[in-house]
Amino acid sequence: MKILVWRSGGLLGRRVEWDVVVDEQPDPEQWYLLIAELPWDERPAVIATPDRYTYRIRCDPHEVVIPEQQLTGPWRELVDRVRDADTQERPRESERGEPDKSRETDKSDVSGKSGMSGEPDEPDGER
Amino acid sequence: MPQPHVSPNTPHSVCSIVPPFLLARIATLDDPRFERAAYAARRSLTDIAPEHLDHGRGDHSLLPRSLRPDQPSVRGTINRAISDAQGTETLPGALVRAEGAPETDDGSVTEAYDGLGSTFALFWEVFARDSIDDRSAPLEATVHYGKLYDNAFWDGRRMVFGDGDGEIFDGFTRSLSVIGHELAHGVTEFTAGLVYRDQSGALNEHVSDVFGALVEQYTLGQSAADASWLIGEGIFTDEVEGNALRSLKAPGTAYDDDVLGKDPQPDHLDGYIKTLDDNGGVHLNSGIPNRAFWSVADSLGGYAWERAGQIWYDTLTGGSLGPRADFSRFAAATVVSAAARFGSNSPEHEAVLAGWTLVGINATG
Repeated sequence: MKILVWRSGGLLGRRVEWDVVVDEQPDPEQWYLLIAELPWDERPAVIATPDRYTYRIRCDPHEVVIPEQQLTGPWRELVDRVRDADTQERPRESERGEPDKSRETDKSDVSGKSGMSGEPDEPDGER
Repeated sequence: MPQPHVSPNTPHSVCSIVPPFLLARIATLDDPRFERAAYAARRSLTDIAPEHLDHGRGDHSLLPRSLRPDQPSVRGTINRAISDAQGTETLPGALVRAEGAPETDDGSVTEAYDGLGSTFALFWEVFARDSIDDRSAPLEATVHYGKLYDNAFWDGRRMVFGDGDGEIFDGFTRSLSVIGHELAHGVTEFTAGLVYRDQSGALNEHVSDVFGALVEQYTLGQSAADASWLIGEGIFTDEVEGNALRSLKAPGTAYDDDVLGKDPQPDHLDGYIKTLDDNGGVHLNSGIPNRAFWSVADSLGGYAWERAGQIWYDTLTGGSLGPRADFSRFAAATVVSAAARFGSNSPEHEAVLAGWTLVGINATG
């Protein structure tokens, strides 16, 4: 079982990645206990706070997105464990999307449409 | 420290008019006097549809007086409070320097105190803005947040600084542009309220970079030609191959390092990055409007805060920007602002049009 953690945002906006293979750890049972008690089905309200990090944690079939200010308790414990256990000396710069070569015009580009979520668009200029 | 006044008897009626960002703050209060209010705020947050949660603008002007700090008798009176989290992640931490208190022996506290003063000075002396809310809001900062915490941020109420991890970052309070950047997030929150995602989020970041750069330039008395146009110069360790976090003049050139990678910022709309990370690349795509602003300032010459900065300030506070404004709408608003303040076909108006053309953004609205 593999756990992957991505952290994006922050002052620089860069994405870094850590991962561990649980069965290669010296204490896999502790990992499994922690994984089992995590509320994978919760969807924390993502209140975007400027320059804070956003964590994405995947442990198939689960994946959650957690804003930094809500990375507390067992979630924080999991991320700290993964960071400590990752054998890479430094977090790896993680691939991001390729630059979009097609020109984005005002006709085709409406704010809020990035494919990121299904939230409805709201007309610009609303107060 | 002023506390929000919330009636314990009617938490729901208070929370129904309270914008989400303020709910989020109330939700984290752990003073037992506000236990019911904090509980009610947390309940309200889970009831709010996700698309409205990061709607940061709106009714700030309608905040009841009891939620604002005590009004000083004279506008333009700064009120700083620097706290020390002492390596924990508990905010605000211990108050270590209040307004007017003598310098301590903690360099981070001094840098934060002075940096808040410089930011206040730009907004008050140049734009007649009385603190971030234009109503003398206290300027609060916390230093020594977390352990080896490699970041600084605006939490909706205060600026928070880590000490850096010693590998990449070596402290954040030493950069006037970083301090100005963070406080400007507060100004945006109280004005246009640009939603921190995708293009509006990149504009939010852009505005913070603009005013962060202007704080530094104003404090140091630098003309547009003399300025570095860098954000966060001097916060990297010596191990990093890089000058700064970002360059407004030349997005994509601020650093090129084997650990950090290369500065990924585009400098033209053709390079717009579509990504799920970083709230849709808000720190990445800000490079595009950043270069437009630099271009306006560079072509007009002199001090950037006087004309280019004024146009951008007018745009941010003029009321025509919606919280989900995209690049085109923002650009069009700057053109309108330039014409309104300096006249149609003025050099300022022409410079703004040329700036957006340079980066490929349609500013005709």
